Amino acid sequence: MTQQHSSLAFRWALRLHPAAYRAEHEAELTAIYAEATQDAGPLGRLREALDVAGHGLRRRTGLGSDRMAGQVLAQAAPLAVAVATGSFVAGLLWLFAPGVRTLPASSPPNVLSLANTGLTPLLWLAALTAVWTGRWTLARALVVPAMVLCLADVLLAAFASSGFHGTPSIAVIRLAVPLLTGAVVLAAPRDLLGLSQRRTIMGTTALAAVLVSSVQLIETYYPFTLGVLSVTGPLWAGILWAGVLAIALLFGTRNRLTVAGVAVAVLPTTLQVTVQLTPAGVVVLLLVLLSITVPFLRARRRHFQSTPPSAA
Amino acid sequence: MNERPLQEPTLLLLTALADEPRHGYGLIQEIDAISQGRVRMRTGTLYGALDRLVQQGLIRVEREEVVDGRARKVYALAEAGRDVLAAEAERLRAVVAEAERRLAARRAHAIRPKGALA
Repeated sequence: MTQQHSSLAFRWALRLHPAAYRAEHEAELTAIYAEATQDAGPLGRLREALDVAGHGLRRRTGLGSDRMAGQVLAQAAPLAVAVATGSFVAGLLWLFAPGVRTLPASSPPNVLSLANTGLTPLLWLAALTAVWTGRWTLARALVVPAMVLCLADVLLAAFASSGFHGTPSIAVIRLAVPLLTGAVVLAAPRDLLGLSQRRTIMGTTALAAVLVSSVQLIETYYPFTLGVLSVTGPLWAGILWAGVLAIALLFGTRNRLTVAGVAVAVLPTTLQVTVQLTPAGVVVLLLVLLSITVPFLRARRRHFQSTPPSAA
Repeated sequence: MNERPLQEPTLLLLTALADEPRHGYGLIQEIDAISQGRVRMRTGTLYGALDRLVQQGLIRVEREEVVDGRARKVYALAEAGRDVLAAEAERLRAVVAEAERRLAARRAHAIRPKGALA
């Protein structure tokens, strides 16, 4: 099979590569694709082409596994899934607390919102299980519907103006965790993803759940908040996360990749706070910057004094 | 010695090149065989890994050839890659030995009659 006979999807996938890279590697990529799909059906060819497209986008954006940005994403991906899962599952469990009111299923936006509230945590939980067992292809497949569901919920609520109070920044707050976490998982180079340290994943998930539960407890006892699905919850969670991040990074530094990976993993949550730049948001932003910069510089100094990088 | 264990795709790739140089699709087939069908590396993922391992000096392009009108590169394990793979094999061997020792100790404990002296 030559390039003329390759599938349309594959030809588009090739075009996503930078021109110079394509000129150098197109013939070989085409040959590998042709051999790998010789007995494959349309779905198999499409999956193969999507993988090549992912490679092209990573080359174009500097997120390949040979680049530091890609290596940071690979470090961040399991932790980001753990943070999202812990947060969403704890949020779901709080809906069963006494006295909590949920939306009536009286209109399409409300139905979608209820579906999002109920299904999203389950999708993230399934994704976390896949990460736990090293099945990253499945994990990626699961975060896509979780992202789509949340996006559809927020957009439909915004268009219908029903049950959605506030400004565009509230939409950003609600979308930050699912969309950014999903983006981290999808963008991380597949060849750097495998079995993660289970104790770390479990600890991070539990920590996220505890932090969200703490926030819900605080909200329950403060009359000026709006309840379980309020906007102030994420603000408190962001402050708590920033504090945890600061402690973890300032007192538990290892290497630059780990430092950057942890920072990226909690970035979606902290972004919820900083997006409004309230006084609390500014404090969080400063805490995050400090807690990333200090260990990063420390690790960088150690890196230059010691060994060559590992193979991962 | 590595700071961290190798991730599975990297370990499988280096293992596939340990005995002889191979081209891209040959690597996909070999990884499939080594992992007993569990890992099916796709073209983009393979190519990303090859880019990285070449850049890290763990593998090298041994030659380029055209077979049946298809251009392809043949990759070989570099000396640094051989060292990394040997270190990882040693690490895994130590883990396996320890696991077997503990399992054997547990079995011995389980079949020891009640009241018998240690």
